[in-house]
Amino acid sequence: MQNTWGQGRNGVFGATRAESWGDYIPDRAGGADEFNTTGQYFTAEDGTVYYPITTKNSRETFVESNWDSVFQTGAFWQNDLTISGGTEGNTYFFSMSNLQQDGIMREATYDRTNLRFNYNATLNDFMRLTTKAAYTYTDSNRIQQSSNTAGIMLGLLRTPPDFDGRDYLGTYTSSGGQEFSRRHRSYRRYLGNSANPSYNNPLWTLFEQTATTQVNRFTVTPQLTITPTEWLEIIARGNVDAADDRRVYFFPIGSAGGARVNGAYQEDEIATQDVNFDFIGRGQFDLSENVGLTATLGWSLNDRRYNRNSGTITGFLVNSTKQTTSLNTSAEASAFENFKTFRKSNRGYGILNFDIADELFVNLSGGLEASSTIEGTFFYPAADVAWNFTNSAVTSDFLSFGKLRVSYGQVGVQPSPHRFETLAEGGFTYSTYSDPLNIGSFGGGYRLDNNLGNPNLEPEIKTEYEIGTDLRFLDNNLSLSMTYYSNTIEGILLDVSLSPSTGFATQYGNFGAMENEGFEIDLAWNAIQKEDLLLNATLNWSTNENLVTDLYGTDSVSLTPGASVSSRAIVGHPLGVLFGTGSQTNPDGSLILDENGFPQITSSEIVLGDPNADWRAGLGLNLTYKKWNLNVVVEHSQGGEFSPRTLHVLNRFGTTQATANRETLTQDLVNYAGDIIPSGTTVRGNIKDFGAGNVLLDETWYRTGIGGGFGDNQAYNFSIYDATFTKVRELSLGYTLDSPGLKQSTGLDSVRFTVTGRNWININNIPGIDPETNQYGVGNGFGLDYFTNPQTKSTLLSVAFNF
Amino acid sequence: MKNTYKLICLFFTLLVTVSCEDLNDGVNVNPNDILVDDVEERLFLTGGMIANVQIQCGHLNRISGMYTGQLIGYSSLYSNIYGFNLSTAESNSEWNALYVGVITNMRHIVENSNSDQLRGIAMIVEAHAVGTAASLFGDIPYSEAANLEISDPKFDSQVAVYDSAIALLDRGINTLNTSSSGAIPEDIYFNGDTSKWIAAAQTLKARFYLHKKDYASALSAAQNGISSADGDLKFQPGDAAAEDKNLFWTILEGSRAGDIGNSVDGVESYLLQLLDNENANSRNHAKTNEAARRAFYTINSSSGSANDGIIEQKQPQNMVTYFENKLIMAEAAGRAGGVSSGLSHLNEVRAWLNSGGNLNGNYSDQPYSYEAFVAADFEAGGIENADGISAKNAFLREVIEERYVSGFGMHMPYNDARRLRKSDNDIAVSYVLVNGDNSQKPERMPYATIELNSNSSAPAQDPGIFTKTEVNQ
Repeated sequence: MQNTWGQGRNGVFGATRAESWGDYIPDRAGGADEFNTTGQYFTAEDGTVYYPITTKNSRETFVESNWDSVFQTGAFWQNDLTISGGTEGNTYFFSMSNLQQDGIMREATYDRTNLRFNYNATLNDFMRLTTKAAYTYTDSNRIQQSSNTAGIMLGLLRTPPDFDGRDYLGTYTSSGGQEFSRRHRSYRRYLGNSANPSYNNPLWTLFEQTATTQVNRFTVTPQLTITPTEWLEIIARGNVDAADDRRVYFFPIGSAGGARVNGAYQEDEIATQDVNFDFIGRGQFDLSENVGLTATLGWSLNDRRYNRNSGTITGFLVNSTKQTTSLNTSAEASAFENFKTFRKSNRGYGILNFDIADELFVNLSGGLEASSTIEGTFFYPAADVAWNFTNSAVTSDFLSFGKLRVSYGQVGVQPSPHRFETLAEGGFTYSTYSDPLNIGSFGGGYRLDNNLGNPNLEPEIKTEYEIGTDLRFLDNNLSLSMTYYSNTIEGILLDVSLSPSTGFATQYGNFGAMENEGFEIDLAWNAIQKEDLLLNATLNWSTNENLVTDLYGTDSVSLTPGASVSSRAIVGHPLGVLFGTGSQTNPDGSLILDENGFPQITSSEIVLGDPNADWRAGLGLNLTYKKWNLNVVVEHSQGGEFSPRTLHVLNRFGTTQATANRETLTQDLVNYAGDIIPSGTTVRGNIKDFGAGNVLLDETWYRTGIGGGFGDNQAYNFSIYDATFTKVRELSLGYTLDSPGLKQSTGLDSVRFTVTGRNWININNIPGIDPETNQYGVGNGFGLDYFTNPQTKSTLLSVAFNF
Repeated sequence: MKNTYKLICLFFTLLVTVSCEDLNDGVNVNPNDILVDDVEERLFLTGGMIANVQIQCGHLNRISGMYTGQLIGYSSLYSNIYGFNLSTAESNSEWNALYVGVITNMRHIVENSNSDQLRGIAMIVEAHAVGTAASLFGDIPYSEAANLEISDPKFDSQVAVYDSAIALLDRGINTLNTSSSGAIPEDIYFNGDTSKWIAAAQTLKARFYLHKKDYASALSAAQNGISSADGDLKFQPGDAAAEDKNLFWTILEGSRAGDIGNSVDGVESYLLQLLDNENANSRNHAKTNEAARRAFYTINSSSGSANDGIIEQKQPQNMVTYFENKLIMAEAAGRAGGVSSGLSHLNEVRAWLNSGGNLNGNYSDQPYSYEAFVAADFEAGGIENADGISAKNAFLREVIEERYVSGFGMHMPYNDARRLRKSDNDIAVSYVLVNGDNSQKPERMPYATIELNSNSSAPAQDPGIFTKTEVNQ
């Protein structure tokens, strides 16, 4: 972040500007600012008074202090207790664990308590009962993030270097003497003179807003195993997983963003219940002297329910932070919403495992599945053959074990529930640019649901072939696995955009096809195995090539709707390619420049890059010397591209180092607006040659031109970076203390001390942003970030006492 | 062993055929939404009407205001668009509002309702939206649109769409002529008042004829059009907590503050200059004082709540109006028969302005004056003809200028500018885009990306915003 240019535009300080294209801070007069003390002012909680600035003299910058007021070194404290034991027929396992964590942002907390109890009982000669029960309680406060004017990073990173954000709450007094309490002071409203701060002061996001969640989750799995004869085993297993999640979102009056400015309070009660039942029969047979067969027949049932009740109060009558529905007692301000899903499926399957001469293994399986989300039933076959060729065919001292395997299989993914019908929907909004009209505000009403129903849904089916080998050398101390696979996925379930002129916006259905091809290598080596010294190394390497082959008529499907640079499925490209407006290029890749030597944006969006890595590799080393242990895990991802949109859009705001360069020109240069800046002028900007000679990239390029990255019509090809990275995921050092003396004095078998560093070393090509960040969390779209929370590195100290 | 073998194989084949579909019966019925057939048709009306408001008064309307010198894009997206960087993505919302919001739902009412009153209203709303879309985009899908059997509807010519819209207006008028006329609360425009609907439909016919330059038909339709300001079709913001307010107010109240307006740091749009007595472009003279209207029109871009004029939170937004109808008659009659034919219509509008018609309560006490014109004012040397052009052209020029000023917030000035550009430049408003590019003039809005992306009958590339539409070639 830069700290030499102040808030404002065109080189002039402006205290309410969104951008930092103001004056050169070191050139200011110095000393205190001059104020107008006759009229309006803002009084902070600690009594500091802020007056309107008439002349900005101060050279103070606050980048570090603003950052430190938001971030802290997070810490967590975790205690675990495990007790296990039993007799030959009955064993038990009990564990209890408690984690309390303060995140890297102040006020972000996460607490979790786990309880687990497993019990195995042998009832008699042929019946065994196992019960597993677990309970988890989580309680956390999360901080708003991402593309969100009430989010933490957006307000923080756009703050100009000469704005001190530490006083965020106070009273605004107008020129007429009227007082407004609990006003939000942000960098765009430094007097709190409007209830709307435009962008949140990050401290407001931390300390005034809350987003809490409390989850209770129970899982119980009883299982009865019956072995009536020595070759037959019957298992009946049930599983119930029930959870309730209570989420509270609270935005006091004065939080940025649409209706939240008047206050918003929402409480979600989410209840989920998953019930599974499995009935499995397994028999072992000797079909002949050399051929053995294990046959498994099974039937399973799955029932999933989801229910969410949400209550919201929009607009508070009272400016308070008490979270109660009494904040606005009028009926119009409160809304109730409910959403449910039900899913049920059952499946019958059979597996035959043939063992021929302990050397050739053939597995055949088939399953028939009926799901509530599809019409009809679907059959999934699979087969694989493995030949352990070192059993008899090949013998060698060097090669101690070798296996060749080939497999084929089909799996299906069920569609989302309740998509068969087209219904009448309420609760819709029409907005063309931040100007929503909501049917609920006009007395309620319906429209034909713009998501067209599809009664012909089928599962998405992946058919995969795989060939590989597992080899072990040097007495099984070195093992090598190699696998090649190729799969096609048909009927990918997507929401495709229909031609809106058909009257419907989207339809969910089997509208895609894709193929993958890849290769994986796994190597494990017990390099040294002596009494005092052990060294193990593992290496894995993988590459995958993906291609979207069909979208059934649509040009592209966005996996990240609403973004100016999106991650998409486009026929002929790998899944997830980055898509947005770029710069016009000639066939040889050079830029087509305008008469001033600047790039021009493409008239429509183009493919900008591919976020998929070329290959990935991981290396692990584990060294044990006497009582010491060292463990290292390194990961490398090569290739792929990432668009750090946060970094790119901050160029438009002028808060990045890249835009802070100050130069005295040695030649006349033209800028994006077409003005010629004479040689000898000291300017803020960068000199660049796009192919037609040097040009000046100044405010007209970054803020008002196509170089800044705000909105749809920008040259986003300049926002694409190489996503290659190398990370030391884990580096840990441990010491085990276990002496007879310890056992005698304390009764402890051993005490183990470990120091672990995670992500301490992170090497990549993107300044300030980690290429593993994903604005969209878990999903198919990736390769993008936009004011997404940063990744962390951490140090852990743990002590384990074993009795 | 052999028997066990057979038993296993039998069991296996049996089991793989077992999976009960019956267990899943009815589970996939949507528990969250209602069947279309269970909902009375009148409940679909409001949704279509708010979608139509966005087409008339939303993002593209603000853009058409920028492109006719009425608004200026000061920052962020609006400043990019002001510089003619208008991508197809900007039309997505209006396009969606047209087809998914208006056409599908209004047709559902027309095909299923047994209330002629409701059906007539739905027809007029659909015609209004589709005619406006034709004026903005040019050729659009219509005859094959909203038909699930056709997944790639073809683009009909702009003139064909106008004709279909006019025919639909006639159908709506005929349907309402014989229907009942009770209150319909779902009708957020006229509450079911059929005589107001019929008049508004006639004005819309006049408007579309005007776009096609069929001045005679425009005049005859306007005879039966809106006859007083009470009959104006407007978007009336309501009293809900949010999301039903004046659209311009809404965007300035949120995070778009400062991005668009007509007066920031002394940089004023051509429209405000036209109303500024101190400005060389002023239209004020002995019979016209625009001081109140200028103040009413001035937008404070710092936030929505800083405004109490034309974009005040609950200020209605014009869609089809009395003054529009009268000025169509003034222009059409003026073209046919000169000043004497058209003057009375212009003076009726001025009488309405003189009663504070184009102001709100916060500005009606500021000075304004709109005295009636006489024929001599348009003769060479008169107050409206200082540059000595023909009387008829001086009159038409004043009519067009009045449309430009009174029509602030509607698509009217943008439609007029494009209509007159080819051969009527001497009566068109010579607006400039302040701090903008005046070397080229936008002629249309781009097609929506969402349509270009998924309709194989759509043009491979959008023709661009500088390509003239059919009626203006």
